[in-house]
Amino acid sequence: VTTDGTDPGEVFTVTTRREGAVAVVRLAGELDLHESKRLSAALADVLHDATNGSPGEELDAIELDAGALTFIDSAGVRAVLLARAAAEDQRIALRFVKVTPAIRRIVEIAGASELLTDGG
Amino acid sequence: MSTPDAAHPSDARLPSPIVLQLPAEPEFIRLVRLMASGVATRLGLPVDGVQDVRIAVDEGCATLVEAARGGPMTIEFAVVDDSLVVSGHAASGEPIDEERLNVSRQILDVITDDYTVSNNDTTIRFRLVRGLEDLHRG
Repeated sequence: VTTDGTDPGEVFTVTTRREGAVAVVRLAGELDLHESKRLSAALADVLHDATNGSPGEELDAIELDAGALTFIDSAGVRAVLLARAAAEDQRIALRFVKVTPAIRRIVEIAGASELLTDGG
Repeated sequence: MSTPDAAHPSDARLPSPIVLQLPAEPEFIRLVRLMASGVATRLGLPVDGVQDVRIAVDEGCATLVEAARGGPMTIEFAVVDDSLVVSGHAASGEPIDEERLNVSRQILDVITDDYTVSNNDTTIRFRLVRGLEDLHRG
């Protein structure tokens, strides 16, 4: 437990790495209204870097690795949908991967199944 | 150990409402989720039910926080007629992201038995209901 009483497993973290033409954005912890702004900023950075990348470093897709994501709400889903629309404007795919059943359920209920992949 | 009253078994677990008052700021929603988990667990909801209550309460608080023009939000947990009722209010004045609210309503439609969200330009309110009666069926 951290000094503010928060379970470290609930703290939201977002880390990004490149794997060729794919940007893998790893999400962990709880994605809510507060943390959705941080996710939006991180995804905006990825798209900005893609726009300003060197020839041969084109970005084809952004994969949101949700294997360690423990919570998502409407604000989180909305942030991802907005990022997906921005990515599509740049002809870049954006999707969740490694989605747990609990997160999949909420994304589906929220009407955002297009964010999920069969291999999730 | 005494046997719970069959007519109002959950009342003994929450004999009076729990009322939280905290800043209507995004970073405090996590604390309300923690309380929601505790209350739902105390009332005997299964793991999936506890998670649904956490999400529902988060959705209500997110809408309060978006609409709030500073100051506190007040959240109350109570057992009424064998249901967990969570209600909240805050002084409103800021615009709500209607697209997010639409997503929120879709989620609440599925994970609550009933809910209302109202905003009369001065006060934003929500009320969520999760039935407990199925916990007592043999």
